[in-house]
Amino acid sequence: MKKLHVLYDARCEMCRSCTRWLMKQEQLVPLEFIPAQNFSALARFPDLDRRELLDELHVVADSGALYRGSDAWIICLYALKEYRGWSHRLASPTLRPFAQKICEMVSENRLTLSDMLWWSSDEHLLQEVEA
Amino acid sequence: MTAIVWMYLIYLGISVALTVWVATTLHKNGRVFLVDAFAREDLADSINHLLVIGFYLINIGFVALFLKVGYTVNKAQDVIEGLSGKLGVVLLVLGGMHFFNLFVFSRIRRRPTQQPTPPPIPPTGYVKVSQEI
Repeated sequence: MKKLHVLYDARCEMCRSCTRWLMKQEQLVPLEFIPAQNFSALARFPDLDRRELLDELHVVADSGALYRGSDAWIICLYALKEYRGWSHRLASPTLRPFAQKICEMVSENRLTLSDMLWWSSDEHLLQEVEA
Repeated sequence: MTAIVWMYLIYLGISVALTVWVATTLHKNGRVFLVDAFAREDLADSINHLLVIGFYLINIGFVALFLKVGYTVNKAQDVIEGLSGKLGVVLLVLGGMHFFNLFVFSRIRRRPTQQPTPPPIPPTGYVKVSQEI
């Protein structure tokens, strides 16, 4: 595994914050972030269903291996130097169902969560700075 | 000897004994961790020894500074209450130091586990990836 493509929903501020956080971490496997709205970049993955991309996080390895939802998160943590241990912990039979539940819950409500105050959008922040 | 001198002696005796006991336990059981982390027995033993010295210095230093009682001690009741308060704090500090040591050991140990490991989960499926355009 030499590279991971992270396909995220760019409409959602929470997802963008998460990608910013991922970018800041030291990576053992390089991560490349591709917004699910960027159709020209998605041309590289002809098999992926574009509607499903908006439903949950997708991660595609350079080998073509596909990870979705909580598995995508676990594989992102696996790519980070400081969190590789956590990826193994979360993948254990005890914690994996919890990780799946939480990911589903957050994923379904991400736009609502993003609207909440602490995830104020870039546009909103820009307006505040300009005001 | 007055009650307060007895109290100080008992306090010092119990605190130092507790420190020695915790340090010996750490020294004995921490070694396996360190040998695993450094993959070299001589280095592990040296670090183990240095950690225990630090542990002794900090704990006995704290015990010594914490000795003085700010009130007059006359009755046996004062001695027991004072001792129990002092020893309680010493025990909590020892506990804190113990966990800090465990934290240090586990941090040291985490490094070798970061060697190439396979992904923790199998992929959901495979898709075609074309070369970058």
